[in-house]
Amino acid sequence: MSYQVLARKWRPRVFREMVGQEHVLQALINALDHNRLHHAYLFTGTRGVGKTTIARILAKCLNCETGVSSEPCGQCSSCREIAEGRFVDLIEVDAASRTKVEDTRELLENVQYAPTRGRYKVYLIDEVHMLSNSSFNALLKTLEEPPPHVKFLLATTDPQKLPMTILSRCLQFNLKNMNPERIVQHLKFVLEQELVPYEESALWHLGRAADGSMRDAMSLTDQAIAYGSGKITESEVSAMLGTIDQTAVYDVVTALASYDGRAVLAAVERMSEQAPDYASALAEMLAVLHRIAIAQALPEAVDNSHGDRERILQLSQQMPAEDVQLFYQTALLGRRDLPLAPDPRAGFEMVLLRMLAFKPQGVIEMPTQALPQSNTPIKPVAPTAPANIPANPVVSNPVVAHVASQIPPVPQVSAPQVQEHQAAQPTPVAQAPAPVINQASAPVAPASTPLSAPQPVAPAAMPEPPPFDGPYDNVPDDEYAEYAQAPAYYEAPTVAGQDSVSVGHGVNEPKKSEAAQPPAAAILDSVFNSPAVAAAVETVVPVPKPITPEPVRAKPLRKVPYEQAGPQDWTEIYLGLGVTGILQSTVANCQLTGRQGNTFQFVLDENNSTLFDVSHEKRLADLLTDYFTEAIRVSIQLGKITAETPAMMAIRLREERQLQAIDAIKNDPIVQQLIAQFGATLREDTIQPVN
Amino acid sequence: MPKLRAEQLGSALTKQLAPIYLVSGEEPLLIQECCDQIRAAARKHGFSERDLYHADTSFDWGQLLAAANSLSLFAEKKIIELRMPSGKPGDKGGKILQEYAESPAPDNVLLIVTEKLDSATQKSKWFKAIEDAGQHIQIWPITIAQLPRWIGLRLQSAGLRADSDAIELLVSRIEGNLLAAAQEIEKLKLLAHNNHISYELMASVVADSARYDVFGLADKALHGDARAAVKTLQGLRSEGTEPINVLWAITRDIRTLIQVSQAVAQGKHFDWAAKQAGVWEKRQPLIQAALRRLKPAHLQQLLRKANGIDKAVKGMRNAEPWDELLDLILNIAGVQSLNMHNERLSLKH
Repeated sequence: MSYQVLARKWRPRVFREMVGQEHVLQALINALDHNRLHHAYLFTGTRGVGKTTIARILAKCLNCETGVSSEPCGQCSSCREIAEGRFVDLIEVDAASRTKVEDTRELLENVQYAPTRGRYKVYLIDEVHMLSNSSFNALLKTLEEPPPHVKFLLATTDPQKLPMTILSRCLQFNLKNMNPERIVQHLKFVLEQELVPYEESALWHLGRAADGSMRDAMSLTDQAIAYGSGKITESEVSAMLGTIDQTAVYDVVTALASYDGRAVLAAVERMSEQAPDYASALAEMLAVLHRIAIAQALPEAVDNSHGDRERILQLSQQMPAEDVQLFYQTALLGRRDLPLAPDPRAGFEMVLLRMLAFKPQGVIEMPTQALPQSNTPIKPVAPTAPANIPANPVVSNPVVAHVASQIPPVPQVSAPQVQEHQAAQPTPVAQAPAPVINQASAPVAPASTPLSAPQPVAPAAMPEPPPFDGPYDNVPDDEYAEYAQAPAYYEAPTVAGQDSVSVGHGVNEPKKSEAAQPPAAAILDSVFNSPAVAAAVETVVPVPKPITPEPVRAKPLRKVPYEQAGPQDWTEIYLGLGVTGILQSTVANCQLTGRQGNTFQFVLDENNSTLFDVSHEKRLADLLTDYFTEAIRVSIQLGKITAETPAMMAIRLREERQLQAIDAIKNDPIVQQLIAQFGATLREDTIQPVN
Repeated sequence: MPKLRAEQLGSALTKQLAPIYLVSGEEPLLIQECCDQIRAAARKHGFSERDLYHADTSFDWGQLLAAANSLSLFAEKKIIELRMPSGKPGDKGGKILQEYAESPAPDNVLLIVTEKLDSATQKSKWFKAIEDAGQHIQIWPITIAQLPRWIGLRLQSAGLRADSDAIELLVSRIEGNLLAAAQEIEKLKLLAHNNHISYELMASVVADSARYDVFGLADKALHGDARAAVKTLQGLRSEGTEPINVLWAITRDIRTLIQVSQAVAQGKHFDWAAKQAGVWEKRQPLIQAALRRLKPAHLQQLLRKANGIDKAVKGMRNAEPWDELLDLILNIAGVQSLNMHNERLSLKH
């Protein structure tokens, strides 16, 4: 027998053999088995996902001589004739070649006559969207009042082109594209049956190239078998498909990751042997960098649909997140500029070199964020650039310089990484004086002071453009400035407050710490809007605090251990509960009077019990159970309060803070000056403690 | 004769058959079902043949008269169906319709189907003549508020019982498209076990896929389950879902979040705000959790990003939509893969 292509040889003959599309098959099988047949079905989906195949199987199911069921016998003459495409009551039409209304009329002329041999007359109209408008109208008349012995099976890749009136008369099933995993799985099965040796990575290439279509995958496999003379190997498949060899892109990224300019150029050299399209190579590289960035944010999010999960994870551990971001940015800008380069390869190489050149080296070595799963320390950056480069881009951003300058004298910042890094390179950082300290000692100084304060490093280094930025100087748009701002990344994590490694606890709660500050902090804050700076200021400045309005909340809450919990701990427990809503008004006015094992007895202030509801006992018990992680029971009784309840404590604290605030204002030197020199009076009732 | 509403048609048809029916309105499903009822009733009265005409610009109105006046070879009585989407027959057509309406042939039922008729048309002579001689059925669209009841009734007549949250889910997914609702109910008939429809079954059916769906994607992202969301996104991509569909679902939720967060910022109660934004009860905790994570400025940035993806999908921006969608999803789920600077930069181009 002559060779039959795989796609036809392995075309499913029963529903069971279908790959994917379970949602459609389930509905069809139920319809067949419970005899709930619709008169018209519409199958939509891209090429080669099984529209016509399902329709043919359905035709078999309907006409099999053993009866209508979801499992046609495949033996009877009807089944065989349908399989061979010569069954008289299965009328297959390719609508694409018969679009005219006359064709449709001719087709439907015989609709009212009973089927010749089978149970149903099945009209299988492929590419139905190609019909003309009047053809649709002719078809519609029959669809609206179909004779009972007729079934319509319509298939199309383009359901949007069908009139709504047709759509509404059909039961529509949308077939999904096949995902590469599924295709690879099926190809493996087929190739094992066919006894063709294969490499699995080659199948992944084929699966991706098929782009969701099983038929395309099969045809490509046929082609690959012929190309590789009886076997399928990765190198041959990628040569046949003409896809960019992914390994080439990975070579480049790996070379970038080791900051080795020579290796990068060598990788490009190797890549050029395949005469690739550099724009798509750059796009591929962007995709890889993006995947690395994602892997660094969420390692599990990287899927293996490209078959490169391992490599991505490895690179994501090797490269510091900041560098990935920088490379991504450079590639992004490079992609826009690539068409301007006289020679694509030169443009591509320049993008890569820019990545290396703009990577700030030797100035600040950032604490790199290790992957949660990785234990390996990140390799220290190898200084490849000439020694004069370090001075330039970083310091042009004063904010960074400030932040950096803040860190050394801070004793509280205990994150070991930071200290390590500082220890490694004390020189450029340490000489920057901390302007903020000056400022803090003169709390009301005009806002411009900190900027004019002596800070030799920051302004001095400002101009000095990077050597090869020169040619771009006359480019009107300012986007090349983006490059110069590259180090902005290095503060990004702290500003975003994402990881508190670098500046310690202050960053996490910038609001609270600001609020806790006397006026000086507020002024400072207006000068430095960045919370990171503000936080840093707070930790550094030994502000002469006239008041210490440490709000109760800011104290680290001690978790009361279950065994010792008793009436004396009630206010502390209360703060740890985080009660809200109406329940809060009840619980805050309660006093813990005693405890018997896991039953807590409360007395609720009868003057504040209007909102009390019996359900509160249960809800409080739930909260306490969460708190102690022990099953707790609660009984609440109305009565007289004998000790301080949380609500009373809150009132007391508020009053204390108010007094402190008034005190602070009164003792403020400036206020005193105002009173002394201008006869100002202080309206105490308007003083409010900040937050 | 007075105007009829769609619900009244059934009982009117059992009493007597009018010589002319004019069905007008904007809801294709209801129009279709009215016509089916009329046809079925006419068949019962022996109108066994059916002629169908489409009154487009090239239509020869003479045909209509000819059909009305000629006797059928096989049947004694026939239905003449005239589809006139515009509702404007023009001078000639108007005259012919008027002529027909003044002396309708007893052997024919004329069924005219049009879209919504404007008031000018309702004052025209042909319309008045038809209204006098026959029955005008005006189809009113079903409002969102009526939809749950409508769907409930339909499910009932299909012999299905559905939980109320299942109905709510269907209402929210079909967005007022009754045809889609009817389709889903057809499919539910095939999939329901012992005719009971639970929320889970409804969710898996209306998703049009047993594996991945865009709504599930949005829910997972809102829930903060980045891993599952990414998996769903990849599934959607490999199944050939258009990125614009994914984007639509995500953007819809971002807008909802913004709307709710603004209302809450104005001091409204969350439940009220969620209700105003059309968040049904089952999703409220989801939205609330997402709002705890995403602050207004962040939401605006997400919306800008969605705008950028929209442009990328439509070829107005040089970027890979799927990569950016992945990013958007991660951001909603609370994972930042690109830093703010890169995000802004990539939106610039």
